Amino acid sequence: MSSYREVTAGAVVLGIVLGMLMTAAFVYIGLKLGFGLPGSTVSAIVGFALLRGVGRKAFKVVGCGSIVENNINQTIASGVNTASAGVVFTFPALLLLGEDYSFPTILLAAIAGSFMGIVIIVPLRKQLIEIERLKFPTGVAVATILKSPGAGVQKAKLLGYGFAFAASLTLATNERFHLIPETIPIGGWIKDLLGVGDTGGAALALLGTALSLSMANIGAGLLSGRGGLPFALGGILAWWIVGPFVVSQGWAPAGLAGDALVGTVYGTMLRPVGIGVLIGGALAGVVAAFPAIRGAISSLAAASKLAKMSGGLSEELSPRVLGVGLAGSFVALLVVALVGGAGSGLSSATAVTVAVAGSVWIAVAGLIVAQATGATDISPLSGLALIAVTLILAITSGNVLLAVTIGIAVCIATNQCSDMMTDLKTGHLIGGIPRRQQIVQFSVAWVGPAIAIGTVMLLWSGGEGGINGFGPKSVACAEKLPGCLPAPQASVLEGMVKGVLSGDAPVDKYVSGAFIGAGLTLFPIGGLGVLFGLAMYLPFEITLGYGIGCTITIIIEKLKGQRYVSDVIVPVAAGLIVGEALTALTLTLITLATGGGGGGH
Amino acid sequence: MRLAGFLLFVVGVTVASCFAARAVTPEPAVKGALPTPGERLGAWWDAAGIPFSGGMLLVVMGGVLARRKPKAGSAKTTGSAEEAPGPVAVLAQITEELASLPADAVPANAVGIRDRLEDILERDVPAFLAHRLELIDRMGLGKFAEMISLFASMERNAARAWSALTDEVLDEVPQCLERAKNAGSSARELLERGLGVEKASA
Repeated sequence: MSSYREVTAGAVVLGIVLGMLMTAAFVYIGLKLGFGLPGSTVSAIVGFALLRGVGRKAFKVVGCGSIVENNINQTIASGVNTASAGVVFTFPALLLLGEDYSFPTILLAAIAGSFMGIVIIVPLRKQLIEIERLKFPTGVAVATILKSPGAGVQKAKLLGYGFAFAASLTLATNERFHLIPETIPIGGWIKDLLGVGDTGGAALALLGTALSLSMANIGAGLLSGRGGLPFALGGILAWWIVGPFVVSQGWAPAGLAGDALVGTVYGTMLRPVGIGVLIGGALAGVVAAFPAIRGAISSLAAASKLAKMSGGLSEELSPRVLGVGLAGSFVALLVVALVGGAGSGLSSATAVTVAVAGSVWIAVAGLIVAQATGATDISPLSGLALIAVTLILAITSGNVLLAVTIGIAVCIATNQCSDMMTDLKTGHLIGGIPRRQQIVQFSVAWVGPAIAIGTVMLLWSGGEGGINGFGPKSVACAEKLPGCLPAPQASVLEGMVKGVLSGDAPVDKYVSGAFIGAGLTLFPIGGLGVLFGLAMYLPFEITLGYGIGCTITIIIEKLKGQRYVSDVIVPVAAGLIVGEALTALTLTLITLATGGGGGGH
Repeated sequence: MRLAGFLLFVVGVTVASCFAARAVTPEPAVKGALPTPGERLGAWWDAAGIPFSGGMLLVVMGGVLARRKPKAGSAKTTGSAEEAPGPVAVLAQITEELASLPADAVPANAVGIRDRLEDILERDVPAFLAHRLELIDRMGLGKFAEMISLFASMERNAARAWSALTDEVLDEVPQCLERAKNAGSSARELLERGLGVEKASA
């Protein structure tokens, strides 16, 4: 029996406590400011301070805070925290829409989604991490932090330089200081220089071309290198060829110019096609990779059998546990559909269809999000949640309550998929045992949804008469008080639901995009459909920054070799990702503490 | 042929994407009613279906051409002294390096072992993985998946040994090294069998 500390009471308790605190805090931040924050880097650093620092020095626990123990801490903390982003995007929309919801049903849907996300993605670990070798930039960044005690002075310095640079730039672009803009409008400058007008294809190409100064984004590109280049090329195709072509053909509404033209072409043409490409690419990718996936799943069973025979433990969760988890989650979703639909006279057959469609969509969306996060660190969560809502609205002939409830499950499940894979990537790099990470994340899957939903309900009931505690109609927001929580993401989903109900869902673009995504899998580069779809789905400022990161790594690798990339680029890029995340979190907390954000909305 | 396939593919994706983004205004069958998804799809197909299908045809043709395997024997396997080593040579180097680590005398060699593990993980593993697409092409996805699972197990155990050495938990190291050696050797066997390479040539 080795004395190497990995799954310990300290790591588990600290992970749960950190995860709960982050979940409650990030739900509040999401309602206030409209964005989520990553939890892995924060918990890895706090874990070092508490487990390695306090545990070893104050409590004299020998070997406390080992690299693999801290990995368990960050796996649990980030696993609990995944619920915050999923809940804050969906559940508040239900409240804003004035639906008569049932708390136990919502909680059951959220918990079912949380478990289902894990059991669906675990069998794909070998496929995504070992066979496809996806980068998972945040996973690499967290592994770099965890390995820092043994990485040597030079790498620690490089990590520090990256951190300092990203922190400085985040401060400089923050609205408090606003020393430099967050986005550089490169195309806009060229447009003015050349005297191009505000209408037409050329104007669209130039106005759409901007560069986000997000160092986390550029850092993700640096870590991805050549593998991420198709993503950048997809952005170029979308914004320099497809967009201008569409405008030149007169397909964009007449009379639009400048930013309105860019917003319309992006929102009603490029983005919906991008969602379709993502779906088609992911589904066809599963078919193309079927031999490897089948091999990976049968190796799970074989490893489990072999471990049982030899009296040891398999490195992965056994297929039986995964099967039970999947069946349990499905039954929970079915109960949600039956109970949720009962009030509106939904037939049992329709409820079963809702549960099956929700589960299938969770699998598809989970795979898409895991692949997208693995390749680029970016998750197309809102688009996938919208598809889930659209799908269930279509099946139930407009049952908003059930559609958004299933949307909650989908959002949480897909976040679990990307978080589980990111954590497993970190584990792979530091020598963690996958089974242990999977067990701890599975064991605490119910905690995050309960905290996130509880926090939302608490804040909602803070309004007059126990309702309207947040949202544009809340008293605090209407009177522009500092306590206003505008819930911007939920307002977006509320608008989307209303759009779908009015027949505005761009089904044609989803379907045609799905065919393109499927076609892209024919090319002998894995994951091309997901990368290309994501490029169309995102604004060009993100794709361009990421592409610059990829290009820098490709050039440096050519000039200096792969070892130089491992020794220099990886720690710098990890520093950029961590530096931006922690600085943004600190600034957000300062903003909230000083009464800023949301009050003026 | 592969270049032609690539070009056809790019042109096809471009054409299909341009027409996929075609905006349409469907006319509902019942006046004043909301357009159904079917009506929306039908309106789009009428406006852009044919050029879109042409683009998709080019995508399929280009994809098939780009997937054509290179002529047998054109890809390097073991590598010569003058060029970068091939995957078999790199994996052989990794397994030999792991086998040479003094697992039975870890305390006396902790720093040296850690440095050598770092070299394997940061120099040799990426060098081997640089051949990933070539290996999938030559071994087929199923056999590659089997081999790379063992390779990944080797990698993970080597990384765990590195972490344990950093944390100064030396009793963990020998078993990790043993598992890494076994997984590495098995991966090497599968690789050589999958590529039809004689053991001696590695």
